[in-house]
Amino acid sequence: MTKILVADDDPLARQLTGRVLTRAGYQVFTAEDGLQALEYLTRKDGPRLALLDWTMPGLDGPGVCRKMRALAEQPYTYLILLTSRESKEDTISGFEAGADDYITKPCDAEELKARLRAGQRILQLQDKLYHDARHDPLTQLPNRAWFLKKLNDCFARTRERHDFLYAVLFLDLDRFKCVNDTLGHSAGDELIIAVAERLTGCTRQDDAVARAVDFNGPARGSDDFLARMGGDEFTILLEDIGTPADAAFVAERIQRSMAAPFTIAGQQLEISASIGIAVSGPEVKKAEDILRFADMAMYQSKACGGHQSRQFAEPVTPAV
Amino acid sequence: MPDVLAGEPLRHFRHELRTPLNHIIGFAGILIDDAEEAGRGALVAPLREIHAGGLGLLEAMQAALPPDMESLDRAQLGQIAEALRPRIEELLGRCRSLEQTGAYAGGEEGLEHLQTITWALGEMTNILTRGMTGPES
Repeated sequence: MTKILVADDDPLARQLTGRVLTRAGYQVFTAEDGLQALEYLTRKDGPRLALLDWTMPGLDGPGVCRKMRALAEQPYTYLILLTSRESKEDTISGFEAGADDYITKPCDAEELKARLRAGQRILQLQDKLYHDARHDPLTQLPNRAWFLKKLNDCFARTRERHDFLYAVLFLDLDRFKCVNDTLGHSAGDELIIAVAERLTGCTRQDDAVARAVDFNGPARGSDDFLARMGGDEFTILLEDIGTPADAAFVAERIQRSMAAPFTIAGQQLEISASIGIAVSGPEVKKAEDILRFADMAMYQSKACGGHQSRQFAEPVTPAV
Repeated sequence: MPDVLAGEPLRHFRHELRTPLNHIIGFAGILIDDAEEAGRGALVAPLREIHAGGLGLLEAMQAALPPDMESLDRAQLGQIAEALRPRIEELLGRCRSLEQTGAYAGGEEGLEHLQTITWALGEMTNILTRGMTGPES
């Protein structure tokens, strides 16, 4: 059931609009002022459709629009000003504040419902854009951009909690180019999808996109992240791990999961992976450092023949 | 009331009138839905007249107070009030008659809706009489 917020300081107007929308199959939430409206709209699972009166105590409808539009991290919310103010200046100023639509009271119930359906279509498009911007189209895993965002968040957390430990696993398939060269790029894509599924199977899925790794170990409330960086490269961000050994445990688990052959284009393929592991520490000066360290460790694995995991170790600087 | 309403006060006055109109049209619509859903077709026609009367008042108000109107003086307001008053009175009469005869569906809730329409019609008269006062909506 689609949630919708009706914010109006007039109880009769709330009752009237609420009734129309309830009967149209919406789950209606009501707010009697702008601050209450904002509180509903910023809830994690709050309504993403809202009908806002213009004049309300505390914060008016356009004020709610401006505050909502200033929240960059918020999923898009479709905001409609439903007001008795009908001048062109008000309409323009409402849209400038961030409203998506502007309806003048009294409004026809059928027109209101049709406009809300249009709003829902916009939200669906927004959601698709948001999803596509953060996901790899081949595997539907989080993409590089989203991974870097999560990594930055994680790095920021180390400043708040000095005992906060996290790790990055950088995985690259061994001899993937041979698959593309001998079986073709479609087979290569098929293999990437199959590997993504195996890797996902190594993780505990908390929701549609973020995947928490089950360490069977001392990890606490982990919210870890599997992503495809591009080509045959995957990364996993392990948040809030107990010790560096937890990261090695996950890498080992992935190596085991890769042991069984893959059936691609009707052929059995034995595919191995090289994994680099980097754990947070004082040498990580910015978020990208840990990713670079994991990448370097992965190349060390490759240099040693592949099909293994290596933990990043800072090169020893020779004493002068 | 000032002798001339212009700018924001005029906009305020216009939309102050729209608030009760919203209630009249909206609650009449609800009463029609309830009567239809209760299978009480005989009640629908008089309710439709109230609904149509509300829409007629909206139309008349919009004609008398168009959004591009720049100012309104006391004499013009008097003329508008005089033009709207008989329509309001007529609708009030219809509502009271339905209230007295119990010719509405939805029980207590239906009565409340009807009383809301009656109240909103009275509110329109008050707004026209006193000019620009009362809270915005």
